[in-house]
Amino acid sequence: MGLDLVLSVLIVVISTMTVFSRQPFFAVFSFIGLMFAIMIIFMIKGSVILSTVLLLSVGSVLLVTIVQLFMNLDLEKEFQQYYKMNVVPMFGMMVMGVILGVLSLTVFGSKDIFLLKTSQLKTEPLNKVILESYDIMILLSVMGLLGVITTASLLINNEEETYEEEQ
Amino acid sequence: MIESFYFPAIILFCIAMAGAILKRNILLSVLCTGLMPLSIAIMYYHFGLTNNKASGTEAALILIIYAALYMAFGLIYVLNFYNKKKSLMTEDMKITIE
Repeated sequence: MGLDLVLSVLIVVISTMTVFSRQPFFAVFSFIGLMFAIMIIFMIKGSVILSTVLLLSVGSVLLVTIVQLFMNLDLEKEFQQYYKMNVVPMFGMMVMGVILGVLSLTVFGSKDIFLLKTSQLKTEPLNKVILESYDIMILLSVMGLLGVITTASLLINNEEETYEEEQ
Repeated sequence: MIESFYFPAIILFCIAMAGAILKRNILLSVLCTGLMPLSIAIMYYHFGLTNNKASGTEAALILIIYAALYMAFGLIYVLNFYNKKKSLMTEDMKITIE
């Protein structure tokens, strides 16, 4: 009850800070803090899959923001080109992987994965939980596979753009 | 009501909607619009939890992914716009469209 109340107040305060802040980058970072607060709610309530997915999405937003900040700095041109080539595919990998992983879970997986609780990780042996929730393995493998495909396609696109610019 | 997380989710949705409508900054508009599905995801999840149904978690999951996608692509476009125009205001966006 106490922690729920603290989290509720925290969410309201941080969201107000995000929306009504005058500095844009302050807003971005308070937004990331807000997503962490929501992730803590899901962890407390006990959903393994929701907190994992939210962690991935927070990570991707943070990654894009930080890298874009780096790209806006006055760095060497080659360094910037290197990051342009690598960061966009990395990001695409995360997003596409999560989407198609969830689609595969919904289509092929069992409903039990959505009811898996963090409390089960404490009471039951970890191996049993992992074996029962084999859908996580499907999610991770699909993420990896799509990551490779997305990386390859985006790299090819980037190379074509660079070639056109050179021409 | 507060301990059920419905109340903070509703407040979060209202604040985000107010920010999306009132703010002139593109970055803040994108952030606020991304917050709205997150607040609905909290509601869905809590509904599924109280009724012991997996469908609430599924809906929350899809909404979280939608929010993440929206945020990510929105941030990329906003930062590219800033790189070109050196401004984040909606007024400059109109000039680009023209």
